[in-house]
This record gives sequence, structure tokens and C-alpha cells, in this order.
Amino acid sequence: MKHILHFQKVSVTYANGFCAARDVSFAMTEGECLAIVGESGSGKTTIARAALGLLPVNTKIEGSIRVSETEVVGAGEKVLRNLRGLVVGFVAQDPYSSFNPLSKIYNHIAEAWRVHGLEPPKNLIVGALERLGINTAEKTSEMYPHQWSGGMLQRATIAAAGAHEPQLVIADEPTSALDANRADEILTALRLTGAAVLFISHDINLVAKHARRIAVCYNGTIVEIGETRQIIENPQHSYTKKLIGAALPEGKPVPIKEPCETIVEAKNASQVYGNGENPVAAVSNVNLQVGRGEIVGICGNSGCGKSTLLRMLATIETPAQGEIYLGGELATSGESRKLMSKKTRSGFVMPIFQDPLASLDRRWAIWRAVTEPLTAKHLTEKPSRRTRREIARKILREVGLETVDLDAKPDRLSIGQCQRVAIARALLAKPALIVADEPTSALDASVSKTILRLLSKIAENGTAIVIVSHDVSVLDSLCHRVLHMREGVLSG
Amino acid sequence: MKNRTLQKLLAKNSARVGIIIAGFLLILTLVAPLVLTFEPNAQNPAEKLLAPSFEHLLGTDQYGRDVLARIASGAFRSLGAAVLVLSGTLFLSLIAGIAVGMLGGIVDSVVMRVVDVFLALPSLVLALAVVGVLGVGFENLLIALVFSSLAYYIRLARSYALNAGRRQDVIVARLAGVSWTRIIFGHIAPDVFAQMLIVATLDLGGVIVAFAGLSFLGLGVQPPDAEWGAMLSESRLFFTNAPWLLLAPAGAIFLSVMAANLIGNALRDANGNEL
Repeated sequence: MKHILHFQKVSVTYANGFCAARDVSFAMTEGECLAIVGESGSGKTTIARAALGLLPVNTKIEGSIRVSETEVVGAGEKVLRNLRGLVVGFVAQDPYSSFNPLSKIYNHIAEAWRVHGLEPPKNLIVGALERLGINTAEKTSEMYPHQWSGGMLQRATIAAAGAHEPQLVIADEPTSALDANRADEILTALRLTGAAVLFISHDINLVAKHARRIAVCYNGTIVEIGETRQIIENPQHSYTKKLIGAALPEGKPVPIKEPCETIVEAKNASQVYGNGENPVAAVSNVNLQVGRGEIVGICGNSGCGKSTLLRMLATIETPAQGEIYLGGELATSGESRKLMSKKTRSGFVMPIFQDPLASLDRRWAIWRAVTEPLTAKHLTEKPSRRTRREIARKILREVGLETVDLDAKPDRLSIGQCQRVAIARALLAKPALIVADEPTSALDASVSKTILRLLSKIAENGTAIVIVSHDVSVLDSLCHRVLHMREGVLSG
Repeated sequence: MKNRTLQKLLAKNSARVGIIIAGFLLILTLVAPLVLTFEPNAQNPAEKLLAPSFEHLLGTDQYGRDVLARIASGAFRSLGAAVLVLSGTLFLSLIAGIAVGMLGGIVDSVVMRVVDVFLALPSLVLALAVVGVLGVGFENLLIALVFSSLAYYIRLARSYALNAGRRQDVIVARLAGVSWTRIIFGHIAPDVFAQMLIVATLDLGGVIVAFAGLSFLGLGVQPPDAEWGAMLSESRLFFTNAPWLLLAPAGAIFLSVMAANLIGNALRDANGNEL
């Protein structure tokens, strides 16, 4: 059988000396759908980019990558240009950033022809969009990207990728910027192009429904590759077993004793962005009460205002109208930009962010980062360097990081480990409230499971948690209450 | 981190070339005065305008002084001046930029408008004006050069500080109750400094040229002291029959600017994916 994509002992080393892929070998036949699964940082995106010759110029690539009959490693720009678009289509992760906001959607797809010096065939473009489930494409394709939803935009990029009936389409996490129910549609649309699909994802459950074969990527190498059924039912490698076994924690969290004191309260809180003619209401009239030890989940699509609400609860932002109370004291109010309560800057609220790497100072060793809350102004007793290291070791053991080197910098840790460091740091501030913004969306299933378990343990000790996610199943398994947010309005 | 940056730096051929040239110039500056038998300012009318030979490797000038000895003693002033100017600019702009960026409000608006005014003036003209006020001389030229590039650096430091202040690790520290002083010294200043250092290294070549240029105009080092720009200026009259007088300081300036740019570029690339 003819191979459409063939990796032979491919190793990729970036200019900074980081070896992102080691001895990667696999082959794809015509019309096949192969999924590469792995956590962030495991090298799967590097593999996809290597196949298209898209890695930075000073990257060292060893081995051989053949697309159709052409060798990609060491190929010139001219050879690559004839491959890209014509033989291989590419679908990027974030549909919003792959469109030029000033150009109409039709032009974006037509570009696939224009770059090769061809006249874009209007009926083909419209036909392709309609086949992908976009109604009245002739009219809607004349709209601008911001008028389309993320799911529609991603279908437009698929139409562009499939413009020249390529033999292979490479899709790098095409669904991670979209909500869960859109993911299936997008993958079906990808299969519709008729090409072989190399599909990259961190979500093995999603992939299992669509791919014929799965390759599991871990730490820069492919640890396991085989038929989907065989991988799911009989995984060989320990990492694959962990991935598959990591369904979400079962059952409901431990119920809290009623009644309990209110930790945080939002009264008619609203936030407006931009001024002038078109102010955007990010959050409107939200009322929310969270009690001690309670876990409240807020669910909604991207851009619905859930992160803004969280930032207001943490007093990182002052609301345009309404008040935020922390522990019964007025913390911020719509009329003033001043902080009203001493609780706002005393570790009463601690945040956990989506990207754990960005929430740690990359110059700081982790013992220093973790114990930073102990250097706070309101604490009368500031521990010495040595006690800080002791404390760091203890708290890191609590979050399951006993083996980590205290002097390591964040870039030497995996993303999941960084998130645990961030949680440990939040714990040392002894917060009454933790606000978590998509704390697991950058992590693979097995790691997010441990993070969620950690959060529910924290809540059992009396800390209130407000957690935001676009994934209902995460919230259902963790939260006492799940609220839904839509265009800035919170509902039960 | 320091060691890994160094490793990345040394992995590049362009950086190695830059470092070798810089090392060569450094040896010239430090060792040549000890080895050479000629005094840079010692005149010898019998040996004036000699072509390069084994005795005088780069020939002699119109007063019979050894050009190599003068290049070496000039290197001390030219390169030292550039380093001094940049350290001074970095130090002052770091303090001003971070202070303005963190204080915000009226202080920020006022200082930045003043900065805007200075940015509107060409920096060489500004330097000339300062020398005009303070008078001609080596130290005054240093002050003038610091002053003329300060506005640009303050603007840069302020924007880096603003960016650093919005980082998530800073937000976490704020909510935990860590004081601004601690946040600035722990998180913001190191970050701003690292980025400014790269800009400064890339600017090193420009400062060397600016200093040589102003000395060429006779505003800096005064005769008989040697300085590359001043040597260039003096050689004008003789360069048809004694071209080595022109080529020696020009080559020295060229080499040092190239070394500075090569190292600066490599430093930026080595740090690029981390910043």
C-alpha cells in the first residue's frame, strides 16, 4: 500500500537545545485517519509542524519525513510550497487567530487558490462550505470573521485546507478552542474532505470515536501505536493506561453542612468593557453567594464573561456597577476604584490560572515561588530562607510533588506539575476562597483528574472554590452547584 | 538560568566570532600598553608618517607617535566610554521607567510627555546641546550621551515594567498581600533589566560610533590623548600619503561595532523564546 506520510527515525532539536521529538517513526496510508495523542509538551505539535516543514530555520531535524513521494527534511522553500495546500492541508488550533479580521471569509478560502496563482472558483468554495454544513454559504461567506462562531470558522479553515483536494490534512488540536458539542462536528467535517487525516489532540476519548489508529506520544517519543480498538481495550504502555483509566472522578463531592457562613458575595455586579459608542457588557447583574467549603462551578462558552466574573470576585477588577463582599466586608464597589476591605490583599482570595507556566515567575526556583505568600506584608513573622524551603517541601508533598527538585525552575517541570505548584502556593496563603479559571484545560485527562481531586480535598478543609470551565462534565463531577453563564448573564 | 543562556550563546557561530573579536580588543586594551615599548603620546619628529613595519606595526603619525600604541590607549577610552554611557543610561532609565510605570497616574503622564519632547529631538543634536552647555571634555561627552539616549530608554523600561506588572505571577503575589517593593525587586525589575540589557548590547555599536563621531568633531577627548574618533579626525589631512592613519582607527571602530552587534543579536536570540 502507498504511504502518504512516512516518518523514519525523526528527531527534532530546537535551537535552544531542547529535544522535542526523539526517534519518531510511523506511516500513514491513503485515506487513513491517524490520531496523535499526548499531553501538552509531549512533542505532538512538533511532529505535525515537522511534516509541513514549518519548524524554525535553526532547528535540527534528523531522520527522514516523506510526504507522498517527497522528502521534507532539508527540502527547499520551493518544494515545500508545492506540498503545502496542494498535497497537504493544514488546520490550525485556534480558528479565531487564523483569520484576518479585516478580510471577508470568502477571501480567506479563496486565498488557497490565489497563492498558487489560480482564479478562485466561487461555486466550488460555496459548495465546499455547504457540504460542511454552513447554510446559505453564498451570502454568509461575504461576512467578516467576527460575525461567525468559532465552530463555523473552523469549518471554513477546513474548507480552505481541502481546497485542492489534498492527499493529507494535518489538524493540530482543531477542536480545543471550541466547546465539546462542536468537536464531533468538526472531526466529521475533517473526514469529509476525503483525505488522509493526521489529527492531533490531548483528548483520547474524542479521538477514539473518529480515528482508525492512535499513536500515543509521551515525552517526545511515540510510546504506542495501533488500531484504536486495540489501544482502548488493551493498552500496553503505562502512560496509555493512565490516559484511558482517567475518566473523571465519580460521584458527587462530600455535601457541606448547612447553614454556613458566606465567604464571597456578588451583588448586582456588572462589568462593561470599552467606552464610547459600543460598550460591551461582559457581565450583567450577577448575584452570587458562595459559602465556606462550597465548590461552585460556572460553565459557559468562551467569551461569555465567566473569566471576567472570576476576576471581579478576586478583586483583580473592580466592577462597573454593583458590589463584591469578601467575608461580609465590602471589598469593591461600582462607584469606586478603591479597595474597601483589608481582606482583598491578604491572601483571602487566591487565583489559579489556566496556564500554570505563565502564573509562575520563570526566573524563580519553585521553593521560592511556592512560599511567596509567606513574605506578605500583613504577616508579622516572616520565615527565614531555610524554614521556607522546609515549608515548601512539606506543602509540595501534600500536592503530590515529593520527588520534585526544590531548586528547579518552572520550565523544567511538566505543565501538570506547574499547576500543582501553583495550587500549593495558593494553599500557603491560607485563602478562604480559591478562584480557578479553567485550571485543567491545558492538561491531559490523567493529570486533570489529580488536579480535580486535589481541589475537592481543599474544599473539604473549608475553603470555598469558584471554578470556571467550558467542560460541563468536569464541573458536574466536582461541584456542589453548577451555574451557567450566557452572554454575561448567570443562571442556575 | 545564567549558565544556560551562556551555553545557548556559545552554541552560535556568530556569537563565537563576536566574543573572539571582543576578547581580542580587550587584550589589546589591557595588554598592549604593558608590552609595547612606545608611549602613546611620545613624539618623535625623526620618525613621522612611517608606513607599517616590524618596528611600528601600524606605522606612525604626523608627530612620529606609534599608531598601534595610540589605538590601544584609545580603545580604553572609546570602549570604556561606550560601556560607561550604557551602564549609566540603563541604571537611570531602569529606576525612572519602573517608578513611572508602577506609580501611573499624573506622574506617569507628566514624565512621559517630557520624554516625548526629548524623543522629538535627534539624539546627536541633543548631545551637542548638552556639550555646548557643559563645555568640551571627556566626562561631559559621557554625560551628554547618557542624556541624549535616556528618553528612549525610559520609554522602553516603562513599557516593559507595565507588561511585567500585568503578569499572572504578579497578580498572584498582589492578592497574597506581598508588598509592592518586594514585587518590584523580585518580579518586575529582574525581568525589565534582562530585556533592557539586550537592547543596550544591540545599542553598544551605535554608542561607540556616536562617541567617535562627537570626538571626530573635537568635542570629546582633547589632544594629545588618543581616542579613535579623534584619531580619525586628525588623519584626514594625511590620508593620501599615509592611509594607515585612517584605516587603523576606522578598522578598530568597525571591529568593535561588529563584535557588539554580533553578541547583542545572539543574546537576543538566546533569550528570545523565554521572554
